[in-house]
Amino acid sequence: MKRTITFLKDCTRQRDWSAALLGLVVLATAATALSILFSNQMKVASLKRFHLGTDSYNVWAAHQLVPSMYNFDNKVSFSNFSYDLAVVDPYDHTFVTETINHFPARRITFGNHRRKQFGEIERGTFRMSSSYRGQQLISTWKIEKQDGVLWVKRLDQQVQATSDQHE
Amino acid sequence: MNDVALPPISPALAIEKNNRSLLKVVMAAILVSLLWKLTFLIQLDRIQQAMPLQDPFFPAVFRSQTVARTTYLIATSLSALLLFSKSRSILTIGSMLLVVALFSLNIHQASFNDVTFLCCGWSAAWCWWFSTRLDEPTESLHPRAAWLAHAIVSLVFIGGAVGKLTPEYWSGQVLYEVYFIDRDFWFYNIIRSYSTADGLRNAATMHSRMVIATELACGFLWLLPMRIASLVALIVLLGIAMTNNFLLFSVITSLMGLSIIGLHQPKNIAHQHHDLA
Repeated sequence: MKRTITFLKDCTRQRDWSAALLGLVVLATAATALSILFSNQMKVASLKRFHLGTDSYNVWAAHQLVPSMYNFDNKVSFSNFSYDLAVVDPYDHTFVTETINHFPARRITFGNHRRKQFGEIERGTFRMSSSYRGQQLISTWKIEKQDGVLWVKRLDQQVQATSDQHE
Repeated sequence: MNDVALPPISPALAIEKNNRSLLKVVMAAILVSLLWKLTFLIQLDRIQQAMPLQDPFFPAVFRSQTVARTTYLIATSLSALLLFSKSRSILTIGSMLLVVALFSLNIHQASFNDVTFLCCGWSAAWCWWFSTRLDEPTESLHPRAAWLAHAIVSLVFIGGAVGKLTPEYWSGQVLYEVYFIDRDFWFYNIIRSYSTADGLRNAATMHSRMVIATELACGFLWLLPMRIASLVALIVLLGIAMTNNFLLFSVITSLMGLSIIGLHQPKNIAHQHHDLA
């Protein structure tokens, strides 16, 4: 704590208001990160951030300042068939499922799986779920090719309470 | 003492030079971070070129591959060019532009998920602040610089730890599925080769709990004595990349640059100069 007090005193003594401001921004960002422990609203906002499902892009962009490495239990599944919200056909050989460390939406937006996913059939259904302390977000996307471009279309996004709330 | 020649530069210039060298440690670390995955990023760029995918969640400008390429090029060139600059105003303006470029990459469709740009962005914010204080004596500036550097590194750890405080991480299930089952990396290959199925699952639980505890502890680096905080951060950051994935050096190098700041021992340059005179 001594270092923190010295920091604050030095900011005043040296009139270094920019250091104080940077410290304040770090503190506010840390408080935002910690808020998911206590606030259901922030929990859901953070889950939506991972699914690129925030209502406003600008809010999402501001949220991107908060570090979130290896957060939440994230699962994704993908099939080249168009199921929309229907149950996956058990004989669907293109169906894959995986646990992902963070930002499950990247399974589609990041390019490293694209050749494998869209190499033969250029469409698909993508589902992702992220869980955190009693809240789960499930999102379903459809990917379709139009004019030579694969487009993401959001079909559904559901927030659910899960049983591990008090664990 | 009268026979001793004066140093060739004035105390003010010596102070600025000393501070500049600290700034450039972090700048160089940002450059290494940005270049670490260059071949991987080029590969992704080619895939996006050959099989373009657009997510309308992002505004058109933040979906454009040209914008991603240009911004990455600007960020990398700036962090390289600033290493050779001695001008305070260029360093300040350059660092500010670096912050803008890196946080832009952090909200672009092509790069939002890569924590490299987030960690580099925060490190560049530190550089921006530090570049505005280059004329302040190092012995008074250094404690503030180290505290802010440790606060930023702590923030990254806190952000990681808080999202793991879940039954799925505490039980080790997430890391078991992500790493322990089939990740082809020396650390996990060794554990797999010496473990039974149950042993592997238990190892995942122990590892996951150790990760949570370490990240939580590192969230409080700013409370520790300066040099100890730096050493702890460096050991943990190095451990993360060495045991998980060498590509993670792109994420941790800029944070290692920030952590090194606390290891510096400033000398009273103005006082030394006065003694010599």
